[in-house]
Amino acid sequence: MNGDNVLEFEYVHHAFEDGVMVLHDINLAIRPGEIFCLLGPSGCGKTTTLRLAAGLEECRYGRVLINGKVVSDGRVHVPPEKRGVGLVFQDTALFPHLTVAGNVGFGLSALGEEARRARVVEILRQVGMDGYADAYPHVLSGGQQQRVALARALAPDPKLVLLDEPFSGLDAQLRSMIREEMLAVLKSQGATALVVTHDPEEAMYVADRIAIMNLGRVEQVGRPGELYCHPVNPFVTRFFSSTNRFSSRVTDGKARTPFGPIPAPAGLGEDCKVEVLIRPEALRIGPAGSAPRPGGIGAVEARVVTARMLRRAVFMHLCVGDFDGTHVHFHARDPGHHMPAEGEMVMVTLDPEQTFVFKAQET
Amino acid sequence: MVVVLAHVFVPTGDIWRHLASTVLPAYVANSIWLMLGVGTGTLVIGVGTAWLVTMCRFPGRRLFEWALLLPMAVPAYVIAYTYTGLLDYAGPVQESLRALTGWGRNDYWFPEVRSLGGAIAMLTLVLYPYVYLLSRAAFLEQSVCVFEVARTLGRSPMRSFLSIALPLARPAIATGVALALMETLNDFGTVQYFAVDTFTTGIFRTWYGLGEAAAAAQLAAVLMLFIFALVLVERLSRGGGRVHHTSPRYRQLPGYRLAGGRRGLAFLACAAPVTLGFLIPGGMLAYWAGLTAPEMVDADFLALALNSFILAALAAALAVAIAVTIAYGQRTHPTRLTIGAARVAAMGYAVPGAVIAVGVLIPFAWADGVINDAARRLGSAEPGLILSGTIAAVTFAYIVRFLAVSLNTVEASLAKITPHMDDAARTLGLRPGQTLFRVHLPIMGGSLLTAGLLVFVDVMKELPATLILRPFNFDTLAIRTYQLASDERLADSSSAALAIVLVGIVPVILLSLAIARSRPGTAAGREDERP
Repeated sequence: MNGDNVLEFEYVHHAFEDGVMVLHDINLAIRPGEIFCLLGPSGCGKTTTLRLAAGLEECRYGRVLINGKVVSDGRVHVPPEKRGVGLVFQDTALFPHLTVAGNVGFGLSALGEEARRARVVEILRQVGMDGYADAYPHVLSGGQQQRVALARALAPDPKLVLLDEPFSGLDAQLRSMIREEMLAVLKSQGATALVVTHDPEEAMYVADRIAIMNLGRVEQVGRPGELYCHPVNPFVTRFFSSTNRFSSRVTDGKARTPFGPIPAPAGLGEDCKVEVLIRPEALRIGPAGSAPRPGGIGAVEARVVTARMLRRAVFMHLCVGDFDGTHVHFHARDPGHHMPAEGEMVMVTLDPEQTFVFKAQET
Repeated sequence: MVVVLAHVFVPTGDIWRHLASTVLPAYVANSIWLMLGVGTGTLVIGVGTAWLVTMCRFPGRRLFEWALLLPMAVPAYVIAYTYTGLLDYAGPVQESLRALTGWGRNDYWFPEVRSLGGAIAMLTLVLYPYVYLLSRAAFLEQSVCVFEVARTLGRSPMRSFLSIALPLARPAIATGVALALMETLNDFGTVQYFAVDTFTTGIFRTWYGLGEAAAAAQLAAVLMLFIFALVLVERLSRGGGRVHHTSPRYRQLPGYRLAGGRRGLAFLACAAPVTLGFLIPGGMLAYWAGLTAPEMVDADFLALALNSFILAALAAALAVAIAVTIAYGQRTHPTRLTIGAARVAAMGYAVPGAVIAVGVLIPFAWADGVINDAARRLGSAEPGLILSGTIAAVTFAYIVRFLAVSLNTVEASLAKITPHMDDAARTLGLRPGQTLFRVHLPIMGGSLLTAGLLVFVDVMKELPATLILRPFNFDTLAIRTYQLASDERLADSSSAALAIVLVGIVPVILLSLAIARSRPGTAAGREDERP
């Protein structure tokens, strides 16, 4: 328990009114100025976590602290209006009966008329909406509405900004633009933000740190690079990218694969069942008979079943002979624009950095 | 309602046996015939015209879209009075017929307006808009895609209508017919005037003629059985036929262009109900009013209008305030109690005014007795009938009956405010009560006004409960219309009737505006869409 943290969750469990447990033992600490992402599939509890932070749900087991002060622990419950948090939704939830200025100034009733107007103008300028103060929300585009929603949340200068899927209502092109703008605004304000998203790329783009959640639990917390390069379990690995996945066994501390043995985690006994995950990018493709790529392992001949040119890579289905004589189907994603013909034989080497071995989960 | 049910078990002995052996079978038979006739009539006219104006293109369609709602503005008893004045022996139609042909009194047959058939016709003409309104809304809601699929699968437009549109709209149509039938059972003015004995007239007569409160309550209870059956049928048809619109795509509806002869038929089919249900009675009223207004519209008349206005405004304001309380309680604390309270409150609309009147008067009179007894014992002057003899009783009855109207409107508009707006307001520093005043009420303002107006107009038109519960010598426009018509002074009653009809047009306008805005995918419904 560090007094410097803006938001802390300590051993938080949460159940809905019907008794269904939605969060198990959540521990999180968000530092000042940090943009922290809750990432996970729908139904994993990330939005509930955000609502607990806002005080829109009451925490019954465990504690929630804001700036080192307990705001919810089963006995105390500070209501949302006293927490000093800002909130931005996917559907923006702008008040339709108020102008843009009215919306942004909504949380500034403590300020005098003059100071409020000044603050509204200032914050609207920062989100690039200063020409729209007198417009009503319904005449704005989706991206503009989202900027106003952010301005409204930031106007009272909250300790913490909570954003619930803030970009998923926007179409793809607009999304990356608004994302970049909002990130810049948050950073320039020095705001601490908790962002909920189901999109791994979005999380990696905006977050300083990410907590990846599944089935009401936090699976792993770390910087985007850590999560991507050193996932702690198959769920985290597979959430960030599609993978080739198969089960195998350990021999001499190594897992057997069609590309040869690869190092298994320490402490796994002989013949222990393991799960091997190989990212499509980990398969490096060269012409048949060429030398193995440096740093790669294996160098196995494979037959190309299909090849498709995508924008940044060639996506292939490969058929690789396994050590036991059977054939295994793999997906590969090869950067560059070399398109092998269907049925052509290619040389495949494996990048061990993007290959992950985990002890098989007992089911 | 509870009071009515409680009185079922009060022994009334002879009176009840007398009623049961003499008039009850007639009440039941008349009510059933009325319901069958009005049900069939409103179904055919309502669904048919709704389909025509929604799916076909013919001259006058845009006009009919809202004009078909106009008969709603005419209370059933008013249309009954006008047609009687128009069609009875001394009326202009038969007079000109005689003048043209030279027939004498017994030389020809002319349909008697004041009959069961006449009552069915009158009620059908003013009640079909319920079916029209709801089935049209259902047709508009349907995605055009399902039709296109049906067409590509080889169905003709007519077959598509029968096999796709009608089943999809069935729940709405059932609700519309059920509403029309509830209004039929509620009707007092028409059946009383046409001497068609039904439960409402029976309750009234037992109450005033025989002075038998308990017997009247028992009649009311039997009437409630009919209502419960209706509600049940409506619920069942809705629950079983719940349809989800599978395709979210909406486009301009196909708009079949009708060929020459059919265009004329479509035009006539839509013009007939509007003419018969609104133009003729409205015109007749206006004509009579032109003749009699100079002597009828005097200080007395204005006092009546003021009475009507005060009652309606008071009931409307209270109904809206209570509806907001209930709807808001349901939103913030969705417990079984609050949801149950809302459902019970909404039931009131199904209960005929005469039943409510009986149910209100019995406990209020009892409470007055208790108060006066207490006052006498305390040695002070008796306060009199402070509950049952004042507008408190009648206002209470209005609220019981019309709360559902305001509650539906308020609930619908509250549902449009996403919970996220509440959350946003809370995190911006507002307590729940402040959220109500600064976010919800401003957004709902228009809807609250609409809810109030709907109640206002319903109260203006209401007859049976007002007749039973109004304080002594406290008359309204509706009462005056009824009294003058009962004295066969039809022309004299026209000024008051016309005033009621004119006020009744207001909600018709509101409704047609609301429908125009409601269809998804049309420009008016999508204000948020802008490039």
